[in-house]
Amino acid sequence: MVNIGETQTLEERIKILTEGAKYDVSCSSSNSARVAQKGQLGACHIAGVCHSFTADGRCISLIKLLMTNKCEFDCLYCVNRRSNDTPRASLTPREVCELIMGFYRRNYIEGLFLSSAVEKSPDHTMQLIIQTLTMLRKEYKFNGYIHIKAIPGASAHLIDLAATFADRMSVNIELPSETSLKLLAPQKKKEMLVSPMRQLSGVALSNAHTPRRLVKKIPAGQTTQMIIGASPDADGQIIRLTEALYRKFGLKRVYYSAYTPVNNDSRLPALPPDLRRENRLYQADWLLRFYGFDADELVPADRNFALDVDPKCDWALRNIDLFPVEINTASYDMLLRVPGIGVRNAFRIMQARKHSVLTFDSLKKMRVALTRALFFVTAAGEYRGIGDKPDLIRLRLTDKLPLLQNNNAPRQLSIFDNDIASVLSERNERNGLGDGKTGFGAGGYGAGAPSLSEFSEAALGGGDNPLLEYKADKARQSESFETLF
Amino acid sequence: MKKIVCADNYVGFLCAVHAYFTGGNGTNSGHENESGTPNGNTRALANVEKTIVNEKHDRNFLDEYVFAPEDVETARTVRRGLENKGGKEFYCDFADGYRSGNPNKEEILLNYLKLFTKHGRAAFSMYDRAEVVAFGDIVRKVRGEAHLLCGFVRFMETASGVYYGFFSADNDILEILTRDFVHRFNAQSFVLHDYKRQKIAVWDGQSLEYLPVESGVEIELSDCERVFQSIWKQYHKNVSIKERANPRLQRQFCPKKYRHFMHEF
Repeated sequence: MVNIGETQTLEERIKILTEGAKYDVSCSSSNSARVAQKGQLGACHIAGVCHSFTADGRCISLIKLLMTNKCEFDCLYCVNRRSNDTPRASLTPREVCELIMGFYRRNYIEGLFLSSAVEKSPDHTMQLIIQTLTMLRKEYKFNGYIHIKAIPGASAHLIDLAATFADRMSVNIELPSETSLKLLAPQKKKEMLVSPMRQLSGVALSNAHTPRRLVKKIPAGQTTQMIIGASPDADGQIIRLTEALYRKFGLKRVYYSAYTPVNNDSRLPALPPDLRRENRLYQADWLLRFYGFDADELVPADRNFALDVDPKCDWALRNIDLFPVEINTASYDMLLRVPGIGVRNAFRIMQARKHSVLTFDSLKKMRVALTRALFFVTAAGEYRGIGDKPDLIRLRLTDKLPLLQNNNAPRQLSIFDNDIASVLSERNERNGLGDGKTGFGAGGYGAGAPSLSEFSEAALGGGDNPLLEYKADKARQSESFETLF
Repeated sequence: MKKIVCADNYVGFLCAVHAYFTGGNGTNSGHENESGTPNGNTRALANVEKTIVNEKHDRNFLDEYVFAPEDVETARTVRRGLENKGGKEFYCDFADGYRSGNPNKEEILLNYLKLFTKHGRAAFSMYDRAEVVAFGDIVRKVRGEAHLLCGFVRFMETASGVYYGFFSADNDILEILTRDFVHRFNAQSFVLHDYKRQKIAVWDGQSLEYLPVESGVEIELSDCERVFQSIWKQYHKNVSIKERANPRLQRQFCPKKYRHFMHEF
């Protein structure tokens, strides 16, 4: 461990501690509506504010800092691990406060994201963080956003005390299974992570009973982060854990960070994962939180998400028998499941169709992403897709094949049909789906689907709600949180 | 076509709206009415094609132009009418729409109002109508830019202790930004300068004032200002993950047109 110590200038120490904190992705400033107080500096915007964007395209909202990067732990994936020969530095609480106030007054930041390596012991580190927060809130009268890390293994009373000063707290799970945790972060135990999360969940729930005149603890709730690709855990397992965290601990957000190789170790992958995996997980996360999907519907536990289309498209293609839906009669829940229609447009469609019959022209004006949606909807009875042919639609969505105008289009269809098996087989092997299947394997949701014309008649004729039938038929194979993690 | 010419400010526009819907200010007679009071019959004008244009708008020989004079009381009447009939949220949208830099904003706002007068509040949810889409676009752009610049504006500490920040924007958002910064920095004196429109907002910790600026602003920076700027630039550089460089994404979220007043670029 290289300790330059007192020879370092403040700029050098900030540089070292920023480098150590930059892999943490959970640094938004949303969900706290802190109102300006007389004599204090700062307020919070409920939607959060981005103050700059770095060269990797990520937003800077909070200044990300470590109190210290001198760590007692030796987690394989971490740049600050004890056995790494890297420069070490620390900041004092006073230095952190001066820096935050200077940056905030110049409108560089929305607040502070403070984390730390485990120096001496978890309790000692947590006390340093609390000392900084106390100074910032009480002495410097700072009323901006503060997000802090709960140090794994810290005492419950220290975590509770920290929660009184912070807007948001987080405990990073990092590795989504106990096996990976044992292998890559042997000093971290499952209970060290789960226990503070459970405690913070209780703190956030108690806010509902806090009188308005009193300051709420962690009003922006808690979050966590998982590393993708450092361990062999599949997306299916990660998204199930995410779902359990939202439901059991009421987390506000789960962040995903594709593993960046920073250390050489035979137990770690030499190459980073495909960055699209991270993107697909974020898309699936949105589907869980805002679109009414369950993790079981999106991907099997032992598989990764398809990389060629987004998880919603993938689900729709596996359930092509539920489509197309008539835009003028479909339920809100069903509209949310149509690829190309988001929460805002689903709401607008529901509102606009009270006044007039919506056509494709209407959808275009409403900026619905028709490149995806047109395969899955009819508008005033008109259908512009290419029928219930999921493989062909998948090709159309990914390779941008020429759009066929209607079902009576020229017979290029048959040419593609002949070639489709080999094309898909090659791509699926590349994406790890295997067997040349596009979805969950033979006999998936698409098997035995009614023809397009049959479905359209049912949809337009006011038949039964296909989504309800689908939900009723679908067997839930719920896995408990404890078995997942 | 008859075109009601309004002054290049919000009061002037509201007066033109008043003239349009009441038939006042010579819109039926072809003569200007200095008092700004309605003097016409709306029903008689039902079939007359007319619109509102800004006084800076280019004029042609074919159209007939009449000027709607500014009158604060008339503008207040229109405001009250809009708030009573459409609600405060609708009026806020409408007022923010006027801050747009779109050269056709008067026409877009007028078309939306026409739809509103015909259908009442139901017009708000006619999302497939071109009038609603155009109105939503200008309001969204104004608020979107204000939200962006709320984060992008940089203040500098001057030798006198007052903080100075400047920006240029497509839309007239100085007031929206100032409102936000007064809330955030209520105990900190600052000057915010919109140099495209040559206006400044001055907040001294107690009161707020908007002033025009005719020439450039000269400021003397405090001793520590350069140090903070240097640390901030270094931080901005170091917090980026080099292996994941993505300048296209960076440009998408932080357009180059705003970067000249951000120290880190």
